[in-house]
Amino acid sequence: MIRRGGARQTRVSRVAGLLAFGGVIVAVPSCDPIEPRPLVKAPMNTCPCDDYEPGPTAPARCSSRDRCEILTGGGHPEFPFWIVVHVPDSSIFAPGLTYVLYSDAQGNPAFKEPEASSGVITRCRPPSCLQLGDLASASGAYIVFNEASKIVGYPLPDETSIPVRVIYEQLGNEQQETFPALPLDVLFASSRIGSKGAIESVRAVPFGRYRRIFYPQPPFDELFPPVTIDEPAIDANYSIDQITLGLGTALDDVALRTAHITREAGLDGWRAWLVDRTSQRRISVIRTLSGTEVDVPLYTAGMQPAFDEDEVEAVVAPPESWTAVPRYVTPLFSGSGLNIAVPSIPPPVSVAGVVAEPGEAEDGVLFGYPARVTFESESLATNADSSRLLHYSTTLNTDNRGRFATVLPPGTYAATVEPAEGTGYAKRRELVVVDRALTALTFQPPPRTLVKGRAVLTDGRALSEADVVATPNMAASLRANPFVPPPRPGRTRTGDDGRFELELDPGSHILTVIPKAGTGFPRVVIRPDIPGSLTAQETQLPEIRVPAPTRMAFTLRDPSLTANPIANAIVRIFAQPAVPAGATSTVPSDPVEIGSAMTGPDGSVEILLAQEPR
Amino acid sequence: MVAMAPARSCRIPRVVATIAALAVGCVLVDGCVVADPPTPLPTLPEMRPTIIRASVVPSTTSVLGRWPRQFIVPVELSDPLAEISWATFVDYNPVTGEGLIQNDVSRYEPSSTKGRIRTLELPIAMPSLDRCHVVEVVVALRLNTSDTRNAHTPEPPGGDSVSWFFSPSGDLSGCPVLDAGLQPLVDGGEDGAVEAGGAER
Repeated sequence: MIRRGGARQTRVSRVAGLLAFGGVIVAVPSCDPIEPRPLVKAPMNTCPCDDYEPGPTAPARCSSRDRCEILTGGGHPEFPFWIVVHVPDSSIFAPGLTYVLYSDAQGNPAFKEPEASSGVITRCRPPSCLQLGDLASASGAYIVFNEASKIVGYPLPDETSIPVRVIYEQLGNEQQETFPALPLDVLFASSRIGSKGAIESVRAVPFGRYRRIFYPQPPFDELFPPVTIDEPAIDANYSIDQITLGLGTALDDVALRTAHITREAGLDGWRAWLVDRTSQRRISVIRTLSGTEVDVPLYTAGMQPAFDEDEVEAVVAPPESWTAVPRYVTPLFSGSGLNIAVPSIPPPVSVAGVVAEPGEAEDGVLFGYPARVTFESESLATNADSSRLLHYSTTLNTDNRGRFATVLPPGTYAATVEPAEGTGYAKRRELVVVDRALTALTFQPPPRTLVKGRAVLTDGRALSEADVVATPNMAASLRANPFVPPPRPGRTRTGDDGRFELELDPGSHILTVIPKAGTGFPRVVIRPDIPGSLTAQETQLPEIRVPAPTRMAFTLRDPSLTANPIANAIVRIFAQPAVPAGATSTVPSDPVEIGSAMTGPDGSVEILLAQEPR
Repeated sequence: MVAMAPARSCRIPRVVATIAALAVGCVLVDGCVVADPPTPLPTLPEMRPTIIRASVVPSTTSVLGRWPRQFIVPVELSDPLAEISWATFVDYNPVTGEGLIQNDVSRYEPSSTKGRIRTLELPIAMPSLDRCHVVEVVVALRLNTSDTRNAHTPEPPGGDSVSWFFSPSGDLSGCPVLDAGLQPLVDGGEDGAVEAGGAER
């Protein structure tokens, strides 16, 4: 009995023990707090840091954020860069405006602490806080004096203000005469009737240097020329730009600006004006023509230097609604060239064709696909000789089977074919001679180049789940062969092993590897030239190495005494690629974007940067 | 002697069993979440992604005079883990369905530094410089890109879009445009369309 009782107790205790064990097994996992577990495969930046490559001046060290960083003395990169701040439209201060803060390798002037003023407590001190510059209320007016208005044939009382549209192009600041190709918006302002009946434009602009172009609005654009001013810099809270035609600003020599224009078939509805050759900006009045022969003054103001430097072209254009009629563009040399005879041209011809896969057609059937085709004239036929001064361009979309039809003035054209995304074919430009009606013009662009690469961290791990974005390197493309059109952008993502593939147009690209947000690694930029031909359709990029980052963090505030934070602003960092050792090119590259982030509700932003781009 | 030994030896396991049972009881009471079979967590209804228009770059409040290398579109999500589809259009033509430039899916950012905001950086090929263009970005939880018109119209629960005007001359005339005055289907073959250029810069 005792033994049985003892056995029963032993069984009970065994059962209780099993229960306890099972309870622990059940209870332990179920009692864990429910936490979000990111399912990310991307490698994270965590300490230790021994395996990372060092930076130019310091090794990668474990920071207080348990992250490997290349620490710098000033809390900013040790190479020149620009901070471009896009203030959101919802901001009370400077909504929708863009600021540029420039910094050299020493952090000046963006991170330079301003001199202390007695009695003023500064809440914002670099490098942990950056303050945006002040805003100016820039008003502009185009005033006309009686003498000048009589010259253009539209007498007005003295000091009459005419409506204008003002364009503000940011030029640079006191440190830099001109900014390179940064993504700066052009600002516009239109006239309105002011408080005292004066017609003026008002626009809020950040302090800085601007080119201000005053375009008189219709119908005054036929009489009064645009006026451009670059100085003075806008650096006061209330800035007034007042163009006074006939007092401060004079019309250029009218006799030398009078064009004699003839066209046998008539000029009714045609228009004529002058442009700056480099910027293609209109610099004269626009005059509407009539008859077959006309003398028309193309008034300009303050443009004599452009005439002296032969930087002016005259344009005679048909009405906008006309099709298959070219415009006539002639350069002016030493101020002459305004005796313009628009040549007669043969009637336009119909051009039909197809954009199709390369290769021989089987049974005469080509496999077409959708594309966009742009014809730009190189030279056009006239009833005498061909002319390079006549210009015509048109863009058309094919149907889904690649077929297109249009009408063109006879001549030689550069045809740019842009196959639709997803077709896998490359953008291509080729010469086309249109000397008669064409019914079977066939474009067969080659396949895009398959670009392969691999992104790795400098500690040897593969960089998975990173975005790879290719954008055209416009500066390099423009210098290159004009028959290689600027490529189109592309994007892809790295795989688990860091490898990526994407199809790109041949040409110069800026290829950016953007690690997954929150992983603690910076974006890396390279500038490959992607080859392309009918035979070589694949290229392998060198391994892209993503280093430990240099951290730049600051709070963005407005310039008021209370230094209010700027929330939800897009902050972008740009740097000019360094010229590689031994390179012979002296042409500076456009800056590339090396980091970006959005400020939080408190105006704080953290951007992780790699070393100087090359 | 014979009776004593099993009694002592049984008392020890009884004490252990009692303690163990109490411990299990305590643990189970503390871990009471397992007392009942787990019920599925309530799921929030799907909500459309919303573009933070105020922060898009470039700003939509003025006409673009220069083509940006990329368009930056911050999108607020009800679920930061959600995948969102996006599509870019230039001069979308609802008549012909033309204008789709690119589309893709943006996957979740596990540790986004800005809460529920996902920022899309979208490079778009520059269109011709001879006239005004309308650029549009559409985001949605789901986009059917098998047809351009579907790609422009998000599936339930909907999406959001933002658009810009790009005019190199700063002149808004002709914005938005379909095909520069020529009717589609007239000059481009059976389904095609023609755009005529020649506009003033």
